Amino acid sequence: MAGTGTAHLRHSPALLRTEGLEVEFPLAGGGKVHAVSGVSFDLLPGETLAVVGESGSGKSTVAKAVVQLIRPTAGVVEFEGADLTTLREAALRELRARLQMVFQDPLASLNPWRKVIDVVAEPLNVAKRGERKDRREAARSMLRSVGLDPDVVGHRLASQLSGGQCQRVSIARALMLEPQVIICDEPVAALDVSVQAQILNLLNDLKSRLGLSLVFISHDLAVVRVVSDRILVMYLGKVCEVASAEQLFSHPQHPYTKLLLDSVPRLGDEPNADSTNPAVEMPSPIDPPTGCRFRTRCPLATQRCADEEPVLRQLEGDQFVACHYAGT
Amino acid sequence: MTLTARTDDPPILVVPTESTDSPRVVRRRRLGLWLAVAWLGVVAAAALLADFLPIADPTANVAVGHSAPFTSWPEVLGTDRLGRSVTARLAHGAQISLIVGVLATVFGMVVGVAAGMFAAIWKPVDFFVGALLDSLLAVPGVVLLLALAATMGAGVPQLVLGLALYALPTFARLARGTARVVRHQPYVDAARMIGTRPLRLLTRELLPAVMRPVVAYAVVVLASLMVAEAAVSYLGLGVPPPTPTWGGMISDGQSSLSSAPYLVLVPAMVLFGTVLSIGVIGRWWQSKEATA
Amino acid sequence: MSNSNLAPLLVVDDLTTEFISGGNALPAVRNASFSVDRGRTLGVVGESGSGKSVLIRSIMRLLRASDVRHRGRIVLDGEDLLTMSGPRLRATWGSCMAMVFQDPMTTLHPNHRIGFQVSEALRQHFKISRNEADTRTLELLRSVGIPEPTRRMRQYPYELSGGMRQRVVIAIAIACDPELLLADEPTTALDVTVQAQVLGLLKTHQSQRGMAMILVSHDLAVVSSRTDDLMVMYSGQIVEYGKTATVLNQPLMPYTAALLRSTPSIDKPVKSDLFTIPGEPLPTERFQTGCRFASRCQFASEICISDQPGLTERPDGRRYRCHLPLGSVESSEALKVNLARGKTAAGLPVSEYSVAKGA
Repeated sequence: MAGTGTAHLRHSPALLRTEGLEVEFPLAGGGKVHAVSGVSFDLLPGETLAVVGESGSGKSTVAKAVVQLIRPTAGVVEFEGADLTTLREAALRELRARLQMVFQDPLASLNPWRKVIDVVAEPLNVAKRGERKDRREAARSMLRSVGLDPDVVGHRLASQLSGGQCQRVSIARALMLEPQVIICDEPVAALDVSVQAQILNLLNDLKSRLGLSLVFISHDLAVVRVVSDRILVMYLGKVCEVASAEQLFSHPQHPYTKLLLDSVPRLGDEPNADSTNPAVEMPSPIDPPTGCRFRTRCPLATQRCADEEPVLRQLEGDQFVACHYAGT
Repeated sequence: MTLTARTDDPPILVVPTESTDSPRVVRRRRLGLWLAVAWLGVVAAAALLADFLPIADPTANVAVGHSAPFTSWPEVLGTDRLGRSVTARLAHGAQISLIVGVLATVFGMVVGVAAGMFAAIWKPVDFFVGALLDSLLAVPGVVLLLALAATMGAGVPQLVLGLALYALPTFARLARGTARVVRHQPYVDAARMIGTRPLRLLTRELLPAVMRPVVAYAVVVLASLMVAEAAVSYLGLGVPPPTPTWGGMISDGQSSLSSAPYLVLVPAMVLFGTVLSIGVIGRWWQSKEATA
Repeated sequence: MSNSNLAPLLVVDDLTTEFISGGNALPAVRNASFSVDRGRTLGVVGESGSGKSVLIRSIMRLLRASDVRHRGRIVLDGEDLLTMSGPRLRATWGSCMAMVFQDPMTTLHPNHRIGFQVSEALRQHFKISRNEADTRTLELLRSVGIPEPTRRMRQYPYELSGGMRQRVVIAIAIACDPELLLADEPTTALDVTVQAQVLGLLKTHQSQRGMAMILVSHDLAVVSSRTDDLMVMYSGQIVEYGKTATVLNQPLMPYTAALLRSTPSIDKPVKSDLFTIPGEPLPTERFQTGCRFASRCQFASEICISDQPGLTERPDGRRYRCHLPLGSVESSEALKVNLARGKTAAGLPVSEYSVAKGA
């Protein structure tokens, strides 16, 4: 186990809990992509957990593996007392009602041939809840609660809406079955700044109003800062660091977390990151480095990092880091 | 290449439009479309109303031997080798041509799309359908029709079945390919997330996306199947005489091609015009799809 | 050319770019005027559809002549680019101005080796031998931080990561020592750690070579951290211009202020609600009598609806397009009136809450 471990899992009853989640994609010419390797996390009621990482970190694969849109190769996903990885499709359909997802691409998330009102009412149609008329009424009031006027947008197609409006419709659809957990996969990455703020505020507002718990997948630390209670940093399919939002931003411990934070452009400021030559980039997930996967870019790396995989260990309070040398 | 700076331009009225082509091109294209629609309308009307129009019986001999178009009344389009009315045979032939073409296309499309979509979703079906399609593709169309005619005799149902089988594999492949791409779209994942069952997933979420290229392609298939029907009738494998078909008429006229070329030319031009019109409408449909 | 060291390198004068569609002219950039001095960096920010990319492509003369109509002047080093002939323009590309695009994959030719693409750019402009071009290519690739440049030269674009490809694009852009480098969202497709590297690289080469640079992005933070001057665009118009730090600290146009407040930042408190701008941006081609931002502005008063504000220039060079610039007496008066009647002149609801938190 490397950059893995379960020390950060808490003892309080979690809504959603994964342990040792692993996803591998076989390649046509032999070999496989190690997309996610041994990721564990837990989500407590009312909490927002952010999963942060760059492209290739496996964060979106984690999201899909949790809801079983991609079947994980190994590991456990516990939700409402059941292990989702062992359930058949029919049993999954029941549980997914309370475990919903919002996707990155606002336009592609909506069926282009169906009216907005039908898209939002569809979860009730599928679940065969209530009369046809009541379903429509429920969809209309849900549209209102995400800030859309059903009389204006209800009869439009997705292509006739703006990106922000599409994302509101997606959120409305996810809320129709009264979920407990919503997994948001880069929900604002495709939106303009001013629209981004609207959607983030909407998510925060819905969360407190409906008592939701969120898993928020994002590459953008500035966005994550606005929404999350706890943050999990991923690199090349593994967990680097887990900490409360305050702790992570004020005292990052893992060298990769530090690099990420230093790279974020700041208003009017030269970033701290050392941007001198030469370029060092993420290795391929087909053939990841031995030991610590970050060692090829790490300023602290030693022979030990190549030989021995670091396991998540507790530093202070609620901060966990998978590094041999962090905090010393 | 040079653009001069002009500051004295009149104020501009802004009306958003869809097309970026010049108005002349748009006007010309629209005229072509209307001509195509008009021609297909005439052919369809002739086919539908053939039995009620004041025209001769297509199998009756109304004159002695063939005569050229525009030489006699009421047989404006002349008579064939056996003195039968070309007008009547074209109208009744349209019936066969259109029925065979449309039925074979629809049949091939429905079965092909269903097979292709199931194949895209379920691995075992994919293997089975794939093997079936490959073996169908391995048999040339004419051989397929010959085999059908030999075992079941010649006739409209056999012809429809044969042509449908001929068109089916391509429909299935197109549907399978499109469905395999679309099923990874977030909106399909979203549908799975709200608990949509596989059958509803296929019909509600995947089918509309699959039908867009399929319908555009079906128009091309319709045109090519009408030509194929004519070719098969020409080879004598189609609908047996004396029932008139366009292909049969071309085949018939071929023996007197040097003395009476119009016997081939008239049905050939009607077939050409019809296939062309279908093509024009198909292209218009595709361009509409592309901008939608 | 003799006195050109004093004159600005690039002068854009009353530029309007319209797309011709079905006999209609749809404006994408409206009456843009600004200039860039030698060796300076100008940042251009705006949301999607603000016209910032069209502006850059107009300067680069990259838009197809049959699709667009330009009005105004774009003067680079004393020459009007808009009246320039094709061959002259091609000579200008590369040696006088070069561009770095958002997507490096589509900028590079997929079927040619990296080395060939860089050396080809060199050989187009300098009469040098193949060997000499190869040597210079190696130097260039090394100078943009590409490890193992000899091996990379023989590779194809698909064999490189996004960040590495963007470095190659930058190498090509600076190959012929242009005086003006235009970068259109050069890091939007890249990861944040790579983004920092690429932005740093651009800045390093810009100052080493004394190039002028225009950096376009939707991301205020990206633009503001590396530029001398900052220009904000909204709905096809330049709405604010000035020294980057001044614009960020004292925005005059309410749109700039709102944009700043709605941008998530790692310097803002954790779990803070963001300010939001109500509504959606006005499409550039839409006609509007008054201010183009009026319908979303909490300060909007009657004059904002009836009169279109011009780009006002203050003595210190600050420019803004607003009747009621922030910090002025008129501005606070207008807000008071709007608060008293509960809505703006455009009908947008205004309250103490909306002033603090947005829509």
